[in-house]
Amino acid sequence: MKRSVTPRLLLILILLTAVLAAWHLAAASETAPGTLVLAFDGSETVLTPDPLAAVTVEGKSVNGRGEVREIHAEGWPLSSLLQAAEIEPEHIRGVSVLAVDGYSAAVSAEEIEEEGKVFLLQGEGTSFRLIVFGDENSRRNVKDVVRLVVEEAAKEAVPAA
Amino acid sequence: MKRLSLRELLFLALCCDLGLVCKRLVSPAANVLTGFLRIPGGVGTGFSLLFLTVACELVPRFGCATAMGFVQAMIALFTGHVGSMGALSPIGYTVPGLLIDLCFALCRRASLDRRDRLVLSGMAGSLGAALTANLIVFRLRGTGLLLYALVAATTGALCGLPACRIVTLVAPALQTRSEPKRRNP
Repeated sequence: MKRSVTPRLLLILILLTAVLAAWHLAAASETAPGTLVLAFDGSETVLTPDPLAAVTVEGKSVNGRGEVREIHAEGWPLSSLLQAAEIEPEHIRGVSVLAVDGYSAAVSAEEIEEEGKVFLLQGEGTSFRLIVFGDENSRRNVKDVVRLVVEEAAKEAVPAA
Repeated sequence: MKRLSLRELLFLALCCDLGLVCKRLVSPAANVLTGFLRIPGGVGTGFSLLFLTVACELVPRFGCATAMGFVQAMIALFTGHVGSMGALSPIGYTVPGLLIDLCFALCRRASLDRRDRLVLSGMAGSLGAALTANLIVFRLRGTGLLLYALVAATTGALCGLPACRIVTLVAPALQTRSEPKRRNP
């Protein structure tokens, strides 16, 4: 009679999941409440958006079902946060916005520069939420943002004298 | 090839709907767990695929789960419950169905018992769904992707146990054919 593979398989899967979950949670970079990690040019800095510099963000967000949601919140244009970190717009090719669960969305330099397009909202508690107005779905509305990775624009070659 | 009976078709349709409803019902609880583990999903789909494996076990035809996955995708598209996959959701629903079909075919060839078939097929389907979602939406890498895939595989495998119980309960009802009653002479 053949032996069932189920008990051993389940035991191995549960053990592996537990070990990997512990490793994953231990390795996850913790950010202090109200702060973000900004990665640019090979270095990382902690960014603390100034609550006093927050502006009122209003607009409409459309989800995958076509449902329109009114947005009325406090937040910061992404361009102003990058400027506060002394990153010049001409050095930016795009920004990857990462959530605590590993979900990410990318915004291009053109979108960041477009007025009223890309904002980081003050979410529930001390978390941040990315919102990109004008998208057909809410795929780039990232909750619990913890990290911004700035992709550098290609440096132009200096013509020889 | 033998055609499916009306009873079997109705059962497949019921399993399609139950899978979709089940996913929505367990989503809030699943989100608590995935939020704690810091992964974007991987738990709810295992419960949804449970009904596909039940249907495949009771209606043993190759392509059964693939067809059900496609029907689920169409229902999700027309009702607007496509989630973050958007127009690509038919891929996200059909790939797990195909994997379940393949896994069932292999398990039957290897003469594995019912519980093993359901557990392995649930695991394969759930893992396939997770990797497809990662390819289309999440783009996770490293330990995040590994944990996400492992959680999905474990959930899919664990869902094989209730699936086995459901099959045991439902099998007698589905196998009752409308055969003419023989009179006692």
